[in-house]
Amino acid sequence: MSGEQLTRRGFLKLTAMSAVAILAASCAQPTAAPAQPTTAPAQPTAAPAKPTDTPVPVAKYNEAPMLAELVKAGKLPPVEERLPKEPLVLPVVEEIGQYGGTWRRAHIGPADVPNSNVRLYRESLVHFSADGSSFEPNVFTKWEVSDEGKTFTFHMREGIKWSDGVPATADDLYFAYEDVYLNKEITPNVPGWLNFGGQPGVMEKIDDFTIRLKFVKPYALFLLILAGGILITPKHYLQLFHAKYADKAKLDADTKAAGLETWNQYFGAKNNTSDNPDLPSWHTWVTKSRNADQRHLMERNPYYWKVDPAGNQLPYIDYIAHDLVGGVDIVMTKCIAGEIDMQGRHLAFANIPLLKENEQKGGYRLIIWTSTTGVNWQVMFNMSYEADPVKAKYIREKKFRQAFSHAIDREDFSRIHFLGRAKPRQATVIDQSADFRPEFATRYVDYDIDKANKMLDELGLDKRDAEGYRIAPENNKTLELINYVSAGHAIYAELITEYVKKVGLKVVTKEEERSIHYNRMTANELELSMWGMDGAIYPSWLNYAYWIVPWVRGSVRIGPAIGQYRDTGGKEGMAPYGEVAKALELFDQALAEVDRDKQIALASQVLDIASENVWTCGICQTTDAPWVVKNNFRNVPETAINDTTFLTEKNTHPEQYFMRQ
Amino acid sequence: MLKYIARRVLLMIPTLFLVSVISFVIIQLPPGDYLTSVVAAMATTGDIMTQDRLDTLKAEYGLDQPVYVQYGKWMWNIVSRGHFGWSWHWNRPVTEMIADRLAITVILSLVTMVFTWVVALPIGVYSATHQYSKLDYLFTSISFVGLATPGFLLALVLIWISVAYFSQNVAGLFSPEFVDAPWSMARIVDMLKHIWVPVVILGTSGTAGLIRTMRGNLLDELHKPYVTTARAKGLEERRLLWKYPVRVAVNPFVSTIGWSLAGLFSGSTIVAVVLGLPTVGPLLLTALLAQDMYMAGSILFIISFLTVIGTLISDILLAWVDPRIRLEGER
Amino acid sequence: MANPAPQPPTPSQSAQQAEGQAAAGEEKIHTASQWQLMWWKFRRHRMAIAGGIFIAIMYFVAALCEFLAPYPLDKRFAKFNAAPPQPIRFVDAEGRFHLRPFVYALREYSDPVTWRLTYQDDTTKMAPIYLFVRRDGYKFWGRWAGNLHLFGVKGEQETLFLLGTDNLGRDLYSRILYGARISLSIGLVGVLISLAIGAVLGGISGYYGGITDTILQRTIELLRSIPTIPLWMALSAALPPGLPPQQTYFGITVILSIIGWTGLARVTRGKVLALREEDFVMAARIGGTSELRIIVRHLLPSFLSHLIVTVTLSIPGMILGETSLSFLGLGLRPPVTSWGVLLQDAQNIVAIAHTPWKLLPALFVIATVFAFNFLGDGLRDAADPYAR
Repeated sequence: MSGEQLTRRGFLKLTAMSAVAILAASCAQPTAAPAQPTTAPAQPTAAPAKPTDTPVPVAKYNEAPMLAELVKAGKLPPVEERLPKEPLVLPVVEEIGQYGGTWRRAHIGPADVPNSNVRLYRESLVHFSADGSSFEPNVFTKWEVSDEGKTFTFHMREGIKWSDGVPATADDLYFAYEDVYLNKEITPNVPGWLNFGGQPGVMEKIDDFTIRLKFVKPYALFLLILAGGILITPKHYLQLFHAKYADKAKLDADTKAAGLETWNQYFGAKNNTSDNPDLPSWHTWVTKSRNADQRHLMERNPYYWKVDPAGNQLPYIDYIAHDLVGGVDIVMTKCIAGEIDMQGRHLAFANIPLLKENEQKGGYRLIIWTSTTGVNWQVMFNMSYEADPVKAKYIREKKFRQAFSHAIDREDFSRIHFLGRAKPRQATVIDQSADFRPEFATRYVDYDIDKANKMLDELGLDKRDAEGYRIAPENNKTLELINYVSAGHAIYAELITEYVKKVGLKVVTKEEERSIHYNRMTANELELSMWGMDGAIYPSWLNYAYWIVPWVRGSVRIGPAIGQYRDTGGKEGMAPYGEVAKALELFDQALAEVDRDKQIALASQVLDIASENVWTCGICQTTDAPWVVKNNFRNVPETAINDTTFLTEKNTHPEQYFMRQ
Repeated sequence: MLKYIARRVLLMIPTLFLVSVISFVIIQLPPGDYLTSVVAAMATTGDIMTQDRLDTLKAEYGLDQPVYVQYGKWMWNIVSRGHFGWSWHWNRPVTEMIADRLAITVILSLVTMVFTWVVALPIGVYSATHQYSKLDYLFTSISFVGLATPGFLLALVLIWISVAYFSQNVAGLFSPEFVDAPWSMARIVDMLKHIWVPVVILGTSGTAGLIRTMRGNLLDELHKPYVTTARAKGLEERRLLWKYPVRVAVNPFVSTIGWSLAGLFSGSTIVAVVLGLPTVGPLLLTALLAQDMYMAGSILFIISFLTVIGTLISDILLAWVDPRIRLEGER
Repeated sequence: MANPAPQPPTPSQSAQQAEGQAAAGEEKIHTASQWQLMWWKFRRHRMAIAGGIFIAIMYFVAALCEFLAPYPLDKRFAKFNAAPPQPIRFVDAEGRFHLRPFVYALREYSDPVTWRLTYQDDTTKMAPIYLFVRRDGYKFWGRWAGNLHLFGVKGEQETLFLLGTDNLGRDLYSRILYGARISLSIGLVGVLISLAIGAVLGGISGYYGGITDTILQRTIELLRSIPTIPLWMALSAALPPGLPPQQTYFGITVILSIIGWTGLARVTRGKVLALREEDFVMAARIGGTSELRIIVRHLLPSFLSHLIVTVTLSIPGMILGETSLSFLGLGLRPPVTSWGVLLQDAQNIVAIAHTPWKLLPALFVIATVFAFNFLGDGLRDAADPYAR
């Protein structure tokens, strides 16, 4: 994909339709968002379906043969009764599809299934646009933001039905909010997204299809949160397992019978979309078999509320089957054996040559999508490390980190691990991000041993030991830092050790099983550590700032104790200091800023400080992510943005994928 | 003999108790808990779990209670109701998960075991009776290759060769269309098409070991005076061989054959993982790595139970195969 | 004291079996010690001799790897990562014969469609191979500086990759030689510890029986039930990160072998249970021999052949132990180099498909296992008191 094109396009979209733009626009125009999405989905290049081609609304609807049979047998009401008054009409990527087929995929363990599936079926209240920069109507057809960004009014699509045929209304949203998220037994701690500004937002039901949410502070990222897929709970089913509604004695007995101890555990087991086949949902496909089964099967939702321009009820594909395999390598061999219809998960950049060579054999085409990968690998300095004061002194020294960055041979790293196709880059958002400035990506990335040596000498590390490693003057011992990595990542760390050895820095790799590694992180024991940087795009990085600032405790390798300090309101952990504090302050301002331009400016400032301080030292970047797509598997865009938060593939609309018979 | 068996069965109770305590403690030795591993696993694929959700789950799973409370509850449920607890990782009762995989585990292990013995015993006997013959060297060499190649590497190479040259995916036990099909003739045929790969890989090193040991032990026996005596008395060679020296030579296997019961569950786990076999071994490995403690604890408990039973069976067999052995051990 | 029955063959037996032997030879056999007899028998086992010689060579290589390898352990050719083996040639592309062997230089090729990086022979550039080349310096045994290599190419930019390179562009052949040093030492220590504990405790358990047996057997059951994976995980988390990986692995090997003796102990016990009822044991006992002496002197040799087989069988497990453990981020890790570590590079489908030479360390493992096992066979046959 041409990055330039995307940038321009992304920019247009961003200015037109970001969360904040909608917010601003909605003050002037009551209907900021139309009932049908007027934007073509997911392809920055050729877009065959122009919005004007979309006939609205269709008089006669068609349905899948498997559903027509059920209707004939009297087991299902006719399609017109199943669809809402105004079904969402989805433009097609290539052509009107054919019904039928089982979409075969592979997963590597039970925990993998929900994360893989959710990106295929989930219908959030609002939908990310294809490039993630804006939001499209989905379950909510329109929304208004008022009160300087503190109050949100949402209008639900009327007539959406749960997969068991029961209508979905504002009551379901209210139940999710009041009885699940605000229930102390189910959710002991109020989630951060809901607790915005330190106090839970208040939900109010206006009518059957309208709700209003009020927060104490302007909430610039709320639509982003909604698009992430919250507040989806069928009340009529789940209330049977909720202590407030259900018969206590029966609930207790059922809990015991299931082998669980408390009703909230039982509720949790029932409220699990990908593991409880009985749980109704409004998603594209519904769960047919459980995670623990060898094959996890999902079946079309007969009440799905989207149609194609010809009035065919979506999805086209009948089933999605995830088969358990032994590991990521087997996912690839299955692709080559032609046993996978469409999948990108667990296929890595390094697999591209082999997958490409075997396209014909496997009967697939390899599609390269663009990941929101800021850098593929980075070395992170734990800014709250304090176990050894001498080490801590240098880890926290800006010049030390900059010198470290200059000592890394990025071209070599790219050649070894990315076929030479990754570009040297400092850790920051991707080029296409609205808050990106070129200098963020280029600071201290030159491979310059002399400069690095000079900078380290200037810091007082000018004495060397017998092996040529630098000695810390504070304790007259060799300065030795430990680079913690998760199992399997030592091959990356090994190179870093080699590079910095050339400037006399001793870095030892410690490779550990990943849960041990993770535990060390939350315990603030990391000195250096390595990871990749995904989700690096505005605005979603603001909600996923792990690599930029130590905003919370979990997953933050650049200062977990500082994150902890923020999480606990200053009771535990380490107070932010110096430029970390400055960056965090600006970051908090950005989170609260409802004006889009101002928010971007603030975000840029945070990125500026972060890249200048190199607490996350980026190595190189390639955004190419491979997807294997069978030749008869159509309507998959050739280009797309791949990101966890945007739920790729969902942002390319899997409901309109089809398999040519 | 009966008295001996009764005593051993009684002894099993304290042994099992001790074993269960030790395994439960060891499972919890690594830092972190199930939730840490979940978050870490999610992080590797770029998926996110918020701290809020984490706190919620922690309380839900009872991970905030002390170890002995967790152990006590778990043990009590096993003893009183036969409930092995809840697997968080699979979101299912442990018993259900193990039961699901038991059939395939047992089939696979038995087939492997039969394969091993059927191949190894005759070859071992042949190698011993035809020491230093050409075939002896050939069998010896093949078994050494099997012995020296790590099983999972062999598995990967086989998988690649079959995909690259035969466009066949041999990983797993079933073709996609039979994965969740009910048992039928076609499904059995499909399984047989796949099962030879794990059987050969799993069986290779075992077979090699068995051939070597068999050859060695039999050679020991063949030159003993009693063989010469029997031969002198005109006993037919084949009959003589299988009736006496072979019987004595299998003694070392009998000593540990009981453990192959336990091996059914835990043997060759990494190969099973690579091949994606739906057996109990990978279940245990995942449970241990994910610190899914009731699942891990239960499988380990079952394995130790089988080990203890297996040892007993071995001891009884030992006495049966070799009547000179007096198990009571009183002199 | 009476010699126990199964010790050196009785003259009559030997005489029967040693047909065609000269009378002088027979005389020698009669008076030879047990060890001499074993040596004579061992000498006749050609494969065992060959195995023994191979092992001696491998240890020699391990000892002198700095000199024998064309490149030092960590010498990287950044532009030649994952390069294929360069065959040694005498005949060039035009068909001319050269007395001095040479290799063609490698030329990089990046496939525009598949993005795959490969290398081709550059027939315009020849690199002649010389004996006793002075180039890249090393520290022999970590002490003495040197730069002499048995063979190699002379130019700084010239390469000689007999077995290709690894992912980082390091000569695989050199690394295999260096890897022998670790692979042929640490694992064997574990084998020996397991052997010692297993044989002694198994022997005691079988010989004494009764309460001793019960306690030992229950202990074995207990040990066998201990799950090793969480134990490893806990150990790896508890060990200080700065500890050299060799020491870490050595420590863990020792711990494993302390747990791992149980199988051998069971087998030994079974054998001893049977043997202790034999007449020669009874005879020794009546003769007033001490119990320890009966076990070590009379019982142990009777199942020595089985012990030898068991030990040789466990060697591959010990050499390759770390490959399995690397799944957990345990075991040996770079910069320490062993054959198992080298094989870690080959543990994925892409490597097997595109760079199959990374599997070559496995050949060395197989050869070593062959050698050890043939040696073991020879020893076994020699230790067999009845065989001739």
